[in-house]
Amino acid sequence: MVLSLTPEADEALRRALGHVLRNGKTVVDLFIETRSSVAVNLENGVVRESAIRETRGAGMRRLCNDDWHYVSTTDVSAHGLEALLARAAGRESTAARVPEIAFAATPGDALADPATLLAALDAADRAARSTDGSIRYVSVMVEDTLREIVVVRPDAPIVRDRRRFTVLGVRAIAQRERKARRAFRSCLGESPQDCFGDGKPSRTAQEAAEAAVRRLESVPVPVGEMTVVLGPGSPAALIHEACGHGLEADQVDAGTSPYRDMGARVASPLINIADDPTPGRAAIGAYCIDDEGTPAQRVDLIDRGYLRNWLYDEHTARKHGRSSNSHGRRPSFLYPPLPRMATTMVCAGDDDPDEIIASTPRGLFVTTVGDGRVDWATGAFALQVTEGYLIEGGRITAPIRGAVIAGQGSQVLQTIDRVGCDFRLHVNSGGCVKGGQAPLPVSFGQPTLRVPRLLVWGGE
Amino acid sequence: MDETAALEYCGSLVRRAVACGTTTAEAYARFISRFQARVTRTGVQTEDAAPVGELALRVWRGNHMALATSTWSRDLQPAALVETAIRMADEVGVPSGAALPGSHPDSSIRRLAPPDQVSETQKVALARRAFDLASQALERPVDGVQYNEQRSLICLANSLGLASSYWKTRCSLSTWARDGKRDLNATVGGRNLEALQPKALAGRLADQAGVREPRPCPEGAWPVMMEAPVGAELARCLGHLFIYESIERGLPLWLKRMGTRVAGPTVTLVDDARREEGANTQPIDDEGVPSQRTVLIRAGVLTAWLHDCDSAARFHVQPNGKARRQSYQHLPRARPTNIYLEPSPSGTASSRVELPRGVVASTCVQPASVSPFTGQFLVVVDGWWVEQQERAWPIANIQLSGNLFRLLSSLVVVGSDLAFEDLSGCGSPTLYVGEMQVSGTR
Repeated sequence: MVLSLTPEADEALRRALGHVLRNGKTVVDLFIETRSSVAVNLENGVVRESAIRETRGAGMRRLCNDDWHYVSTTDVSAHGLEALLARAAGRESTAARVPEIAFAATPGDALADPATLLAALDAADRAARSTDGSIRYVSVMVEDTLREIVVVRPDAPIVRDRRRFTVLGVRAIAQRERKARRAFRSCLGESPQDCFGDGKPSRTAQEAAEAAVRRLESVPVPVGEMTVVLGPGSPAALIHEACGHGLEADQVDAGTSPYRDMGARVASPLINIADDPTPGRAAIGAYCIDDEGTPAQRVDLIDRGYLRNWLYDEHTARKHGRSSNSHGRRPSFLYPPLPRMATTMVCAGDDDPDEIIASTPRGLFVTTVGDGRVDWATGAFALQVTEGYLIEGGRITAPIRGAVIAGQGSQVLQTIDRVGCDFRLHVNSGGCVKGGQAPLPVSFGQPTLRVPRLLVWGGE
Repeated sequence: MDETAALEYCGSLVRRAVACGTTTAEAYARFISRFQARVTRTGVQTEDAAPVGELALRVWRGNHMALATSTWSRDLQPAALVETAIRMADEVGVPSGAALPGSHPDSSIRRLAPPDQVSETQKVALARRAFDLASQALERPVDGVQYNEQRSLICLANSLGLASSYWKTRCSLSTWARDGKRDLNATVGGRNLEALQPKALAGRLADQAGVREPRPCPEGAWPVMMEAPVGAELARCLGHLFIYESIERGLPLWLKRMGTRVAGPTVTLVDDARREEGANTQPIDDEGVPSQRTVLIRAGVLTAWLHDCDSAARFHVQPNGKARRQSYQHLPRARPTNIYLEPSPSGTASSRVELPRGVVASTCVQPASVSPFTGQFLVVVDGWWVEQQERAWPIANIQLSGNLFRLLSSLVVVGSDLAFEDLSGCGSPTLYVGEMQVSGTR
């Protein structure tokens, strides 16, 4: 279901906003959103969830220096939008007249057929369970989502963006005697065909099952300071949490960022970090325009170790005397935009990842990280290692369990001494939470990185 | 939309679904007004969401069920919602033998009246006053204060004759400030604006700020006294082990046997959505089953699980009113409501209980976690190190861990000071644990 606005309706909406402006208020934008999704979950071969969801809503922001007022509603009828304009203007009603907005299905926009989803889930379920006799539990979920946003301003053409992604996730539990271990893997596409093609569901499921089985042989991690090699993909969560949030302009303005000195050396000369929301690399959270209507652009944040830019929305950009660099984002119409990351990447270096491992006599190789604690203001972090291996004599050996890596994000960036050429984007099926807002889809990625000294805690 | 119209809207959705050939149908609707005012050093920001309408329709075709959800708008076409739900049930329905509740006398539903309307100006004024009081208590301006309010009208109707509605309101005031490398946070909650005490908020912040220069805590296995906020986290974690999914995903075998001793004799764990003090008080659960008090562990012995209609059917028992929806977009599943450990009738009213040497855990720094596979319980707390029954020095960011099942057997409920957490709805008196692994002042 997409928003279908005639040119006349476009003009009427902009006139309505202009009317609110004439009442002496600074209205920044009207944001209208539709989101449709279909989700199916299979647990041990039985359907446990079958849901189809439709969301529509609108939000409007009135901004005046650092004071702002944000109003939102699910009532997107003409009457509902007129009431929204009045609330934004701080009045009982306005003379603004809003056209009825049509929501219409257009060819090519249909969500995946439930039977197609079920076939992909069945294939994944079978692949996981046939991997090993110790696999005791398999949960496979798939969600196909289509979102469209429209940003209306009184002084600019209406802009719109359509965002589509299909994500399939597999959780497997392996059990042997009293030991049970789990693992999770996911794959993503910009359509169901993209996500399900080339046997991806089965391969993803098999990887999850194999990882759970490997973890049955895990040994407790040795604790203390050691060399940690962060593998490609998932460990970029550390960069997102412990460094990325400090590069958002509102954190800088609030004094809760360690990255306040533009131009300063903040990382090893081997490190380049960028945030690139533009579509094309199958990243959750990619877009053509941000949630304020600014065309998406790549932002180079750290260049050869030097701080070069922050992530801006319009509000923070105006305070800095600049233009937004397309990172004004919101999880839905219920929230005002904030400067947020989209697809944060540590760029690839020159080193051969195998050689990085071979040149490490002893250490920890981290392949996936999970939950943890991060202090955005200082970059201090403690993150669980959900999958990792010992490095002994330059070789990857036993899988470990119960590891937590801890340190300072800025210190990690400064001390990285090897950067692999194997950049990988992580399929992040969770979301990023900030400022009490709902989780926002984000992606991150990195190549293999080596940190010479990092604290590793352990426990069962 | 008023209460009568909202209930009629749900009823009409159900009638339409039945007319289209569903075996059973259920409509759930929530109409929300949400208001937030944030006062910072530089300005005031407000967010006002209303009306936000959420609809969830479940339909059964034989023994297969599906969910279709939509936001509400005046121009919504209910026929489309019914059609998509039926199509999903036919093509990828969830096998479900759940027996939904039928009509029940209105007397069993204790309606919570809609709260009085309070103006936006009054709400912002309260946040400003809290900002001033918290800043006075800290002796410098705090970073911010936030007032949150959510008023919900919840309606539920099904094809077996159920038609019920009730109001739910939650308000909270929170403040935050940076103290060197520490974040200070305090929150107070209540059912309405009048219940919020800015002075209490300022007091909580001052208490946190007063714990200056925490010193390292001796690592190792020590006895632990858990004050109410930490005990409530333990109760919350326990509650999540009493649901069907935990058992299916590998919970240890002992939890499958009713009547087994699983904890010390002073331990009684209760879940009660009718308890006034809890944040999750509601007259019916999210499937319409009347809320009830359920004793999960009585004097250390396992007595019940949490059930929604579906899990009750699988276990051949009656549902006990614990179905909750993570959001309207999710299926109802058994989850804890107001879960708490009962206080000791002979316990001390004070949390200052004798402890020769060990840890007093006063507040949680982050939510506790428990592995349903291994029973490993982990919580990070602030508190005190105790020497010779005296609070010797403050400790911060201490990790307490242990096997939950062993911990339960050495758990003694020592306090009569039951207190519920403002936001989570979980409660506990002061608890004593014989031994926990204490680590990490990092």
